[in-house]
Amino acid sequence: MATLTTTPTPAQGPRLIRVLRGTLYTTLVLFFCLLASSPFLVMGVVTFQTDQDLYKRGASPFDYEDMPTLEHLDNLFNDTRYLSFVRNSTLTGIAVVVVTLVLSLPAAWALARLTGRWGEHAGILMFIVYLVPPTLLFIPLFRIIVQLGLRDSLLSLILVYPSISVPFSTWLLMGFFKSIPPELEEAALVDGFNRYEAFWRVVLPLARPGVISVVVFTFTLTLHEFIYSLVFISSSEARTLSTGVPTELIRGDVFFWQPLLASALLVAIPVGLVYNLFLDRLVQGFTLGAVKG
Amino acid sequence: MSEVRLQGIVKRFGEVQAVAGVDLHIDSGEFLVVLGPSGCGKTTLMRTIAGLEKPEEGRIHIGARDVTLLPPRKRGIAMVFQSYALYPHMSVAGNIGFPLKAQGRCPNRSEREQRVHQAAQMVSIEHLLDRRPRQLSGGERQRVAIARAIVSEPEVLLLDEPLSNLDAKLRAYARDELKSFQRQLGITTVFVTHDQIEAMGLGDRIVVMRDGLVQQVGPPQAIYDRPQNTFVATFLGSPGMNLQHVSERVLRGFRPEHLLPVAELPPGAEHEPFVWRVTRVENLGSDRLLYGHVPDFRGDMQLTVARLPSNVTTEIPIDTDCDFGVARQHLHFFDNESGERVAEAAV
Repeated sequence: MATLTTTPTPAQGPRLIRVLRGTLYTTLVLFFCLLASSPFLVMGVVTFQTDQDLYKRGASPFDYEDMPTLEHLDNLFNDTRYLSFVRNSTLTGIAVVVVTLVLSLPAAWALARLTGRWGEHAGILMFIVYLVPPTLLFIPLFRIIVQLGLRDSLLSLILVYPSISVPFSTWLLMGFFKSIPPELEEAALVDGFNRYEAFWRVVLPLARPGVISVVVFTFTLTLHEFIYSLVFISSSEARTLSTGVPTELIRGDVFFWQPLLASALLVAIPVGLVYNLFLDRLVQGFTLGAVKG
Repeated sequence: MSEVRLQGIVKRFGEVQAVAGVDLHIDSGEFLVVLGPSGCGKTTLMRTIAGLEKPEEGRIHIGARDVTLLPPRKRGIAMVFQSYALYPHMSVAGNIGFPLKAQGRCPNRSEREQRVHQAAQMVSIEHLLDRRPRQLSGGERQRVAIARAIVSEPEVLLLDEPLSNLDAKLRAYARDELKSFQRQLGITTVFVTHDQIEAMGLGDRIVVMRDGLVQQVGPPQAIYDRPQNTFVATFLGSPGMNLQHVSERVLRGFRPEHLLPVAELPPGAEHEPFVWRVTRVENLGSDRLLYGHVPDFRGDMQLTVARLPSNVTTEIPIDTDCDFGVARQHLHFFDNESGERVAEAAV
């Protein structure tokens, strides 16, 4: 604090401000990092705690009196169908991502390029569809699923989840396609491709940040979606993570906190890592230098 | 290298008729410049030749083939876009080699690389092959776009204002390079521009367009010397031709450089005298521009401009009546209503 009370000379002034600004910046960044990661930290700490440590009155979650234990992880993997939930969620996630891309890529491209102003209105309409909440839709959709004979099957989720992911993804991708100059597509047409090849070879690589956003959005959506999964699937072996974990690890009013938090953490870590891996891609300006400098 | 024939091309966008019936014959190996103000339909016409727009009426032939209904890739053309349209996710080499890959004409990789090198060498960008388009300057991007256009040895090369994104100094240099390059390859070239200097300097022939219609076709000097109508007369030349009403029916025109002090007119030449009061002089270094007004047949004053080359040193007093004149051979006459050229005898 001594530096603050002395009068800075003109040469010191800007340097002092720079140092102060840097310190403030670092402090703020550290604070928010800690805030954002604290749930994960608590999850990680609690996973290895014994029941005595966890339920001790007045103790902080970080208190360890007993030795850390792997008992709860053992519980999670051997006494519940956790791995089968993970497999079901992953399979559903991948299938829904594929269906979403297959439907929303051509739709977004057509709406962005081929239909003029009409396309923009159609895009907004699609987005409005996305705003209809699943709590309103699950009853009629349940009847459809029953009639199709898809109850208790992952196919029911693969069929229904795109109704949420496709409108949003189409709307998102439209923005990306619009940012790609049409001349690039025309250049590809002149250079020797047909329209579909031009899309595949020129437009799609440039819309990669958009495609990655759609993949991440859709996959995380299938991971945390609850209502449809709860209503359409009742057998334990067909459940996904979002419903399987709570039904097996919350019994009545008894919460099995340690395996519950461990199950959430184990899914969150890889998803978080993938998110971070593509973070740059999501914001990268791919079209820089494509047109007029 | 092929000739291109356009017959009755019409292209509409809703109510707007962008190209309103164009007939054109481009000779094999010719450098044809399509010139006109923005919105005159020149770019649409080029895009129609490229196959990026489908004409509502008319036929397009390239060589012996009717290509009217063919997609761009089957027309044997290459195009340089105004924005260059380089693929930002590919290197310069990837960009140049793209048409070879796309057309499947060069499945052998080493042969493809060799052709990419040759094309790059032609426009002197061999050292840039590994770079990305965003790492290049405007001039370098333009060269990449040209290399990409010529690598597949197209029959017709289409250039849509490729020099407009370059600064003025680079543009003169690029113009010279482009012309000698086209001569060397002998490729049939259509060049669209709104810049008359580019048009005059580059074209074997110029097509002047307005409102989707061809106004005049011919060698640059011929168009400059004998404009077919008042639009061409005033659009070409900087400043454009002076026009004056000499009667209800007739406009008289003369180029600014032909309006000279009487003492500077070629001796013995028959000339039309003008008593002219200069109100302002602009010194441009190589020329002097004189501004003043001359009365028309009704006595209304009309702005008239003269351009004196720097070797004409005659002192021009401001706001004083001076004797000027235009040699008779340099006078042009146009119909007042249609704007079309008429013979002097008809006046």
